[in-house]
Amino acid sequence: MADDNCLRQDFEALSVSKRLMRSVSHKLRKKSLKSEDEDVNAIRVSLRCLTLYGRGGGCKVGADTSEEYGDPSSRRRSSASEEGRGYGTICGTEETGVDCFSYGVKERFWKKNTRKDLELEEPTYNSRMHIFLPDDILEMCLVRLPLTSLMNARLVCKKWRNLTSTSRFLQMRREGLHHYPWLFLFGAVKDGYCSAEIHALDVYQDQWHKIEADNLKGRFMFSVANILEDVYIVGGCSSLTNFGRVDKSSFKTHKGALVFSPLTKSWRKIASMKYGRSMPILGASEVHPDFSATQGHQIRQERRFNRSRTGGGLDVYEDPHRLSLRRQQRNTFDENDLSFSSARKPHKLVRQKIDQSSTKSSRRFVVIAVGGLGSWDEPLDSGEIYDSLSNKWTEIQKLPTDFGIVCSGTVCNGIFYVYSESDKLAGYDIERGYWIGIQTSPFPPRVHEYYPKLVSCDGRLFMLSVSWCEGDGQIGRRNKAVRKLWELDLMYLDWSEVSVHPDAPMDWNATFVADRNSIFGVEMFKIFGQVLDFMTMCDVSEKGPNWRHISRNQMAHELDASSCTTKSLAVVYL
Amino acid sequence: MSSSSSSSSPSCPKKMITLKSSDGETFEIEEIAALQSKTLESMIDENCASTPVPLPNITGKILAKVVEYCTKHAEVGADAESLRAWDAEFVSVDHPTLFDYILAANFLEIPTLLNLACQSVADMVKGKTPDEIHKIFNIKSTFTPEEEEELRRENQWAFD
Repeated sequence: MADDNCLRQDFEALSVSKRLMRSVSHKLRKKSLKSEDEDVNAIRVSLRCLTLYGRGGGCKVGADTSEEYGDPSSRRRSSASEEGRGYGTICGTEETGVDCFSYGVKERFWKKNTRKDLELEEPTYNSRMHIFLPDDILEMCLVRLPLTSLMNARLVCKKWRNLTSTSRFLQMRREGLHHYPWLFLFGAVKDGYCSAEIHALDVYQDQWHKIEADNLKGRFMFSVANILEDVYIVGGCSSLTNFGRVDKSSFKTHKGALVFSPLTKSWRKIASMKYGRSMPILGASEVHPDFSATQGHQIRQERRFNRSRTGGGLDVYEDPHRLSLRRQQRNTFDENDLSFSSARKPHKLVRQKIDQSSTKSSRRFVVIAVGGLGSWDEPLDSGEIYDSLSNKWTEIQKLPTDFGIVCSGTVCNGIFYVYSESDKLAGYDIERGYWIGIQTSPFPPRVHEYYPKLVSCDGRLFMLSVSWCEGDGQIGRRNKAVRKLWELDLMYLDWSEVSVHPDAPMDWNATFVADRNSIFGVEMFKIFGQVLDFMTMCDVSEKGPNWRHISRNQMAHELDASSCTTKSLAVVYL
Repeated sequence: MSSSSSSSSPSCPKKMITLKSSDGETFEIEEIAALQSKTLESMIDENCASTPVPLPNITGKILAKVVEYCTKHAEVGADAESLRAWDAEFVSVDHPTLFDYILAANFLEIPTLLNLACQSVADMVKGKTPDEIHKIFNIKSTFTPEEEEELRRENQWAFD
């Protein structure tokens, strides 16, 4: 029969061409429809061996992998039933491949096309054709989807759900950097209550989502920091008299910390800190798996480093010149380490050395919490470091008393930089476990109530600072303030202006975060009886670089003005 | 025969290799263009490319386009913008053809074409609801209504 020959050739060719499909549908219409399940499973087997043959063993199962994922209908059962029907393979086992297709096998193959596929085989080919895309190809397509589209893809059918849920798939997604930024805004207050909602902004699609966060019920004034796809939530307060309300008349301060994974919408508790803190300054970083958490820390734990100490083992306030020299020395030791392009990155820690392909569970992270307010609202000067491997917080060396209250911090190249209200800068060397005082060129003069915010991305250290561009803040003088982005040259310790933020600095607690190449900011303030929100972002790899608005007044209108004070922000690439 | 591109003098013809599709059509492609395919590159390296290379997985119709793609991308001096436009045009085809491109690019190991075509498919899926995806690819949901409801709840972030 012409049709049979046609089919055979097509099988040998193994390309899903129109001719093939035409003969399929032709054949199918001749056959009566039988029950689905058993046929489907038998055909899965046949189809699979077809694909294997054609692709030289390179590809996985062709049409359906539900059997591989523990699909309840088992192959074995269906084969048995097939034999029961009296379908024999003329040419031996099913695995022998294409060139010995008996009519029976062919028929079984095309029987696979259950009622659903029959509908497909109608002669409107263009977009209404069910194409047999091998799973690994389908994966390659789906891995490129942004998160919300991926969530929708998971609802399409079991195969798509299974393909997109394996850890391998998620790893592929991470490695291929098919990620887009999501901003998570915490600390929203509604009608006096902590709303226990996280507001998430899908920057790419400019869509806000609300995530229920019962674990945060009643908690406010906590700090957040992100590492990879997790958000660490540390410390905070809860009202004792009016649980759930943002009320500090009688409150307790939390030592506890949580981790939230937006991707899986899961929460877990991690070890508690030694001291309860509200609004601690957080820094988070990945560390080398061999990182020794206790090495530097235990030794220096209780010792407050002292300016008057000369020589000795501790590296106290160094002048910048010697600091650079030390970096150069480190460079020579670390010749064998990777990615040492400049003295800007003196540490062999973190990104350069870590094998990105290792699974998430084998990676190691630290979170440092410094300062914050204690149980009596007193400013704390202690600091603690959390090690994800041991799930423990360890106290770290204290900053000197004259450093001042820490108001901002960020990790950059293995150093946790902190800025104080007294305009001082220090850096905590994570690997070595001690503080270094950093003398830079004069800080840009700033408006008194606005504390600068440090952010870091792409191995660079930035600061957002509000200064007077007109007037000098004196009463009676025309005063105009502007928020500027500054960068610190890590080699020469010079500040240089990078760009000007487009918005007038209305929010003294504007919050900024950064990841990959972008800095994101949120400003919230109440004006004319309404709470407004402004989200902005800046790509530091661009020429300029310029800030752009990514969302304006879309989420804060229902919130209380106190949200401006309690808000905190994290950016996660999902 | 080495695979290094020879600085050919005008009198020297460009090195071509012949590809043969599943339906017997033959296509000539410059060796330089063929190098974009890792499969063909290794064949060339091992001197297996002097006779027509049979490609039983790829029909003539698709192979013609693949050859066109490789030839275009082997051109020097093409500016990025116009190449991107050309690429966009190249993948503006019906779904079966697009999937055939993917299968061909996968078999021949042409990373740029594979990436382009896979991204096209991803773009088709992007922003669509599951029902719309069902229609486009003509896939039937294999979930029971209960399972689907459960999944929706799991996935859902927004309650508005």
